[in-house]
Amino acid sequence: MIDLAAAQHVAARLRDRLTAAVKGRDDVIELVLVALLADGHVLLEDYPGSGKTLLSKTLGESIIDDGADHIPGFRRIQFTPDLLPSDVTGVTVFDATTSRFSFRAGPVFAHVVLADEINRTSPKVQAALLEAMAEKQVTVDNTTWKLDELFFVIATQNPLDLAGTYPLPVAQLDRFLFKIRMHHVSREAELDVLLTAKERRAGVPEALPRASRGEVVAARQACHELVHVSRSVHEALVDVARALRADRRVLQGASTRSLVMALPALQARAMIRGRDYVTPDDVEALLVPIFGHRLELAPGVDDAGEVIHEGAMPVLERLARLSLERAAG
Amino acid sequence: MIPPAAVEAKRPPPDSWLVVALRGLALGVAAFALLVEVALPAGLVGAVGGTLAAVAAASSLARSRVRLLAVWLAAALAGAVALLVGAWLVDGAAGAALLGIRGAMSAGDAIRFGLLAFALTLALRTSSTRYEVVEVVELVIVALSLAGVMAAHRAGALNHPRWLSDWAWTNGHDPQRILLWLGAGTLVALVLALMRERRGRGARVLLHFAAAALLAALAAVFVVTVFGAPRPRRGEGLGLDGGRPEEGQGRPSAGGTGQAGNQLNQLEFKDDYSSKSQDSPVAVVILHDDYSPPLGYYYFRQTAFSQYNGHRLVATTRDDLDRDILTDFPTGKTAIPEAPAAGAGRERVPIHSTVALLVDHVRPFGLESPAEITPKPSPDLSRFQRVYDVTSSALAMPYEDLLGKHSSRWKASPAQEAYTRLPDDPRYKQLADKIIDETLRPEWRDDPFAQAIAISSWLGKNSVYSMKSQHAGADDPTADFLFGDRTGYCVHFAHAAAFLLRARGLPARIAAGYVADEGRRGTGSTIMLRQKDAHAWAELALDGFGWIIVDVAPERSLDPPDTPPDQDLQRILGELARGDPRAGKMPPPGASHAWPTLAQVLRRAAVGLLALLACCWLVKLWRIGAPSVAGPRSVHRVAYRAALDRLAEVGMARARGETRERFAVRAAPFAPSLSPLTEAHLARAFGSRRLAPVGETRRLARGAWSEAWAHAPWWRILIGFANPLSWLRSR
Repeated sequence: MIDLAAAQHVAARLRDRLTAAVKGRDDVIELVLVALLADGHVLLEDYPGSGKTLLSKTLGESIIDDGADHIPGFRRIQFTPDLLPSDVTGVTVFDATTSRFSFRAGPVFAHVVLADEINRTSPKVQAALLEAMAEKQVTVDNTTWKLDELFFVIATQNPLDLAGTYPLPVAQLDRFLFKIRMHHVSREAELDVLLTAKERRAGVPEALPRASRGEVVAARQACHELVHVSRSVHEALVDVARALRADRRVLQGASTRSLVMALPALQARAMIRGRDYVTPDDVEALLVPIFGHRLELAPGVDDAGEVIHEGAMPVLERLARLSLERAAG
Repeated sequence: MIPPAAVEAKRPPPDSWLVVALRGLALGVAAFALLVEVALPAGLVGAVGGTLAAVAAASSLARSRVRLLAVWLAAALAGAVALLVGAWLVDGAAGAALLGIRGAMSAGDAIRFGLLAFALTLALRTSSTRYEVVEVVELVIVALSLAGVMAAHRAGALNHPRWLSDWAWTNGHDPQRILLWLGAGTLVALVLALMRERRGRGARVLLHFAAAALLAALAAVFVVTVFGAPRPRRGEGLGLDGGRPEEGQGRPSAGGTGQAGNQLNQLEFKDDYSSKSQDSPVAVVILHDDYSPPLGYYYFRQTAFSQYNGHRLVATTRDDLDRDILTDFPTGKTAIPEAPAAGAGRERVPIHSTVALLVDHVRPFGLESPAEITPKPSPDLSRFQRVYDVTSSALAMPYEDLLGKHSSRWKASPAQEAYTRLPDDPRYKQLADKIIDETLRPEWRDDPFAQAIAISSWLGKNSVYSMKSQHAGADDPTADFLFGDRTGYCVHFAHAAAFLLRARGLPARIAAGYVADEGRRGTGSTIMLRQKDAHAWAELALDGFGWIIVDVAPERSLDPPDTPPDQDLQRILGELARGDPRAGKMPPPGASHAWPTLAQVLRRAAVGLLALLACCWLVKLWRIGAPSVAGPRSVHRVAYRAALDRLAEVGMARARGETRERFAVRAAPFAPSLSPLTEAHLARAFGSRRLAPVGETRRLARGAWSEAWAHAPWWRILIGFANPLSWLRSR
């Protein structure tokens, strides 16, 4: 296992490469890295042409495959209504030369998988992908194939163009660690995109170091082991979840599993920021990505972010006050 | 673009119709209660309707984007319109011409009160949906309106408000209990209403209670400074109002309010003198000299009846008679003419006493034969109508020494004629002669005092005392009594004795006043006189001795025996009459409280405030010094806190909802030391393994201090540092 500084260095290398490729999306990049290091998956809700593919592709390419199984760094699946599960997972084919059936791996056998417009395909295909995400394995013809340890899915969906889609139910959204709602970049960032378009067309400069698959996995482990989550932060998480469940505007609150899943995310964010402890700032920053898609809101209420902020603010303020008032235990 | 629904969600969810209805009900009842005394029925209907409409309007207005100021302006406009239209309709001729007088009055009231209620309610209700604290004002108004209805019962007037107490008494309930329950219920309802507020939890509820208390205190101070402290009402609480006049009965002893003294001029023959005993005190007498009356009773003479008017004895109309009776209260020290002389070695001794009248009398009275009266200022005007000192010439010799004295003072004078006139009825003379002949030995048969004793003792033996007598209707009630069933009360006895004495040619008259048993005094010097102590007795003039009391003590009585007076009340009244406002021991109920003046209130508030600020400054000093003395366990926290304090002093504070890291970033251009300090604090607070060294942390705290002061203008630093409350802003 590597130490925290080395782990932070791994994240920093990936971040540098991503920020070089994608302009004006530093917040999203950080969240994606947090999810990667927390061993979760990400659902991006964004408009077409906002750099999702570039982000995923750059991430996949930034991770060097140091194993012997030649798993590709990046695969993209464009979801359409006529897609079949085997198009995702892979298919068993008969090899005439050896007269044996062999498994041809699908696109999920990659380090980083971009599942584009995931809500455009049938629930059956969605379920196949979601099983792969949850179990890190696929089952084809009663044979179970392990996916790579690093397996990381970035799924996208268009928030507006909902005609002919199969919206993911809340239970399946639960498989995603984050749902990141992206907004249009700022004027300066957009200008920067245009101004640097020529250089970036050549790809990320080779001078920027990559990270190996093994390093990423080790960094995951390091942040899980070495970043301390204090009891007060645990309490704050529980209190926020309870406050959200008590909110009138929330029909169904966040699950306990989502709280458990939040812990590695908090640790990953603290580690990326060079800390070995989780602060309320981490909680505050990750609440909306973690809980936003897990709440079933009452009719007429559609801004989960606001509901979450209102529910969390008193808890976090209390946490801040307490930390100032009494010596840490 | 923000979808409209997101904007909607920021405002409170609409109230349920039940809540709106309850609010409307409460405010409607309040409007009704406030206006029920002043408005016509149409005005009441208008006011309640306006209130309900305003509550409904406000509940929809609450969620609109209309500015509060606009609502207030609209309400003020509506109020002005209401007053103008109301005045035009009621006072102007056009309204009456248009609608008729009655119609104009009703319409004016309806519009005026309806629109006013609407405007006021709308302003209040909308304000309280925007600022919850205003709900306190609403609640206070509702409470005050109810209190106004019930206020009539204060000061122990349990018969008010009449509609409630009448109902209660007729149904066999004690209105006191009902009023108590009403008060308690109102209080509980208000508290519950305050606590029920939508988002009112914890500190917010406390804040609202504090606001309510502040309002109440301000109202109290305002009322006291503007209207003065509430004065106790006359005779309040002790039942000292001398009883109330009983309608249609005109009881002689019932003086009515303030004129109880008249009773003694009106002591009359009545068929039923005793509806119920009158225990209310009318006066207090304080004896300054020890005096034990020879007869065992203190007689207090107020007036005398000596002139026969063909029916009974009445007060004389002549100037030359009964000159020892004052007809009015003197304004200064006054010696009473013809009062018997008193002094050491004489048969009469001067007795000093103070009389305090709880009920106004028409003329003064004093122990036995008053000789001098000096008015005194009342120690408590709310209680004692008049206070005066009396020096009396009290008989100090044994009664048997009066034997052998003569009554020839007015011999062959018009006075003698006046003092011996009696009804033209021979039976008096016959009876008198018979009594004297039967009971006295011949050598005493011409002795005035012996005759008086004989007559009074004969009357005592042969008559029956009863307040219920049946002689009033007769032409000569005295004859009807004396030659009839001989059942009567003091007026009958006094007349009978006086007429019998006069029949024997002795100058006699009737004196009226109060009488009190010597034993009543107990060990004190106070004698409390009650309504029912009013008495009339016969008096005999003896040369050199003045008027000698010849009272009849009937041996048999049909009436229940007298109840002893309340000793405690007697004592308390005595102390009060002496000028002790605490009545010896305890403050009298309802006596004036020592209300602090506004200046005192302000001074105390200022002192309290200063003390509070001083405490705050001490806290601030402690927080400044803490980083230097704190150990490694807490130095990160207190150093960070000190840095926050310094920044707050110059106006830089973390916003609510802002995390510490983000605040540090925001403050970085201003105070770069804050970021490492924040990190040190958070690392300590959230369990990092890498803690900043203590010395470094202290250095950073000092650094943040100097940075904060380096970037702020000097006046800001000065004000901020002097402000004892600045640390409350740092969080």
